[in-house]
Amino acid sequence: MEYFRLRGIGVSPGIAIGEVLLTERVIFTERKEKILPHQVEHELKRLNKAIERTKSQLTRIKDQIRKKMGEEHSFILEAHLLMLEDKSMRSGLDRIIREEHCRAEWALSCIHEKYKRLFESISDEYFRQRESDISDVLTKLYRNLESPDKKKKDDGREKILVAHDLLPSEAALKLSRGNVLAVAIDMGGQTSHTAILARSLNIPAVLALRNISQRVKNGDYIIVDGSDGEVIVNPPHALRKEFFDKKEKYEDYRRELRKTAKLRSTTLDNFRFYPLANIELPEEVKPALSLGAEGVGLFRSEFIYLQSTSLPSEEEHYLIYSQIAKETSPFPVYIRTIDIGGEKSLPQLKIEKEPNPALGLRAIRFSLRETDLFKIQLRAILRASAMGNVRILIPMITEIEEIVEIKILLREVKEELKLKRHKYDENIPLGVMIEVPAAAAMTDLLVKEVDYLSIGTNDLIQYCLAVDRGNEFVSYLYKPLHPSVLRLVRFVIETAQKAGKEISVCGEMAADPLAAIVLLGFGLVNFSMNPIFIPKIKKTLRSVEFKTVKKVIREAMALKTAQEIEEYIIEKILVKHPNAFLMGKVI
Amino acid sequence: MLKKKITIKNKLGMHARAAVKFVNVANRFKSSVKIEKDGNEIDGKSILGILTLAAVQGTEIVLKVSGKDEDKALSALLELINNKFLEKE
Repeated sequence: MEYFRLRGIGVSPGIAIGEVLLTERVIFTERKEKILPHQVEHELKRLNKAIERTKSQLTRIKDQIRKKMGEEHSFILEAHLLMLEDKSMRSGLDRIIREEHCRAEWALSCIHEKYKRLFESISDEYFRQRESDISDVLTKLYRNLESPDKKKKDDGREKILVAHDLLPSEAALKLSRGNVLAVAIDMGGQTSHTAILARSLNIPAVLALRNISQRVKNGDYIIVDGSDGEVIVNPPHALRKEFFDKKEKYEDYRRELRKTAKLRSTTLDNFRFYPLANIELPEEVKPALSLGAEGVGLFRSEFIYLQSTSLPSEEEHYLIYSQIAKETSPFPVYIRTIDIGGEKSLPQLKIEKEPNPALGLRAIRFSLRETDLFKIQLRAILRASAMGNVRILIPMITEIEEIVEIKILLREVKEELKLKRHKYDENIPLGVMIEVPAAAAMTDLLVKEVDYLSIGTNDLIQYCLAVDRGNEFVSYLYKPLHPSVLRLVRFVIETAQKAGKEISVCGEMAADPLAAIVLLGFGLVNFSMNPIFIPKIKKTLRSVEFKTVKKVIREAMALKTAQEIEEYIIEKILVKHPNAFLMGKVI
Repeated sequence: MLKKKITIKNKLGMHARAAVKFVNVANRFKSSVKIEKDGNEIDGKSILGILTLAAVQGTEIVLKVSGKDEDKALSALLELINNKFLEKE
C-alpha cells in the first residue's frame, strides 16, 4: 500500500491513528447506460426502493434534530422530504427511464442537471441557493440506488472519517455518535461548522486537504495530526511508532492542562484574572467550562443566521440564548449582536456586494439599518436575561450617536416585553466592542455611555495598521505588539478602569502567551479566547508575578519596534519566571 | 375552477419554510392547485415548483384551484398567504 502525506489546515488539535471510513463523494454519471424494454419495470422498482430508503433516512435525521434542537431546526428536513416526494420531480424521473430505456442513475443525473439550470437562472440569491437543497436530496437518492448490503458496512468500530465535504446536519450527526476517532476532509476551513464541532467534541481534525477523499480507500490505515494539520496515509512502521509517541505526549500535555483548568486563576502574587470563552455554538459551553472558562466572554450570534436558510425567528434566537445562559449561569454570557456584512454576507439578508467590505455596511451599521431584525435579536437577548447572567455586546461602534440610537431601541423593546409580561433583567449590562481606532481614541467619552467595554483586537489591529492579514503581500505588517497598537490598547484598558467600568479583551491577543502578559501588565483581568487556549494562558499567567509584569511592560512601552518589545519582555520575564513560556509543545 | 389574484406580503416571500407550509396545506385537499406567475404555471403541491417561482415579497401570483373541495382549499391557501405564512417577520 502506497505511503504518502497530505497537508491541510489543522482545525482541532490532537492525534489519531486508525482505519479510514470513507463517505464517498457522489458524482452524477455522464454516461447514459441503456436497458432493455423489459427491464424498465425492474429499474423503476430499484428507484422506488432508493426513494423509500432515502425517505426513512431523512425522517430519522429529522426526528433526531427535532429531539436535540427543536422543531424550528427540523423544518429544512421537512422541505427535503417534500422535495423527495415532489410529484413533478418523480414523474420526470419515471418518464426518462420509461421513454429513454436507461438506468435510474442517468435519470437522476438529467433531473439534477435540469434543476441546477432552473435554479441558476433565478436572479434572487436566496432562491438561487436552494439549488443546494435539491442537490442534497438527489445526492442521497443517488447513493441509495446501491443496495445497502453492497455498500461498505459501518461496523460501529472507531474509525477515521474521511469525506469530500460534510453538510452541517451530517456533521452534527456523525461526530456526535462517538465512534469517530478523527476527521479528514477535502473542503472547509477554521470556521466551518465541522471545525467548530470537532473542536468542541475534542476530535482531532484536518480540513482543506483538497483530494484526500479520492486518494484513500476504506480500510486504509492513516494518521491524522490535527495539531500540525497533516494526514499520513499508510505510514511505515517506524513512523507509526513516532506518532504513537507524539500522541502520548500530547495526551499527557492535555491532562496537565486539564489539571490547570481546576486551579485558581491568580498570578503568583494573588492577582485575580478571569479566563472567558469565545464561542459560536451552544454545544461549546460545557467543554469550555471544563477547560476552566469562568463565563462566555463572546457569543458570536451570527452563527444562528449561518445555520438557517431563512431568517431566524425570535423563538430561535431565544432558545439558543436561553440555553447558553442557563448552562453558563452563574457565570456571565456576553451576547454579541450580529457581526454580519462585508465578506460574512448571508443570502437571506440580501446585502449588496460592496467594493470595500471591511469599511462598509457591517455589524451595528447593518443592525441600525435593519432595525426590525435588530429588535428581534434584542428581544430574544432580553428574554434570555431572565435565565442567567446575560449582557448585550455591540460590535463595530464608531460614534456616540450609534449608542444613543441603540438605547432608544432597547427602551422600546423593553416596553414591548413589559406589555407582553415577559420577564427580563431590567439592568442588563450594555457594552460595546472597541474595534475601530476612532472608538479606541475616544474611550474616555464612550465609556460614560455604557456599562462595560470589550476590545476586539483582531479588527482593531487590522484597522489601526491598515493591514489585511489574509493578504500575503502585507501580512508581515500585522503585528499585535506594534507600539501604536499597544498604546491604543493600554489607553482603552486604563481609561475604562479609571471610570470604574469593566473591560475585557476578546481577540487573539488574549490567547497568545506573550500578548496576554502584555495585557496583564496593563492591568487587564478579563481574557476571552477560543476555549482550547484557556489552559495554556492560565498556566502562563499563573506562573508570573503581576507586579513584575507590570514593571516590565511599563519599561517595554518605551521601546520603538514590535521586535524590540517582544525580545525585551521575553528576556525580562524569563529572568524572573523561567517557566512562564515553558509549555512543552504548545497546541 | 376558482381563480384568485393575490400579492405575497411577508418579508421573505415564498421561501423554503413558507413553501413547506403552503404544500402541506394544499395537500390537505383533493383539488388540484396551480400557481401562475408572469405567465409561468406550476403545480402548487410541488415544493420545487414553488421555490423555482422565486416569489419574493410583493410578487403578484394567481391561484387556480379546481376540484370538489375547491372552495375550502382556496380559502385555506388565501388565509395562509394573507397571514404571512404565520411568520413574525
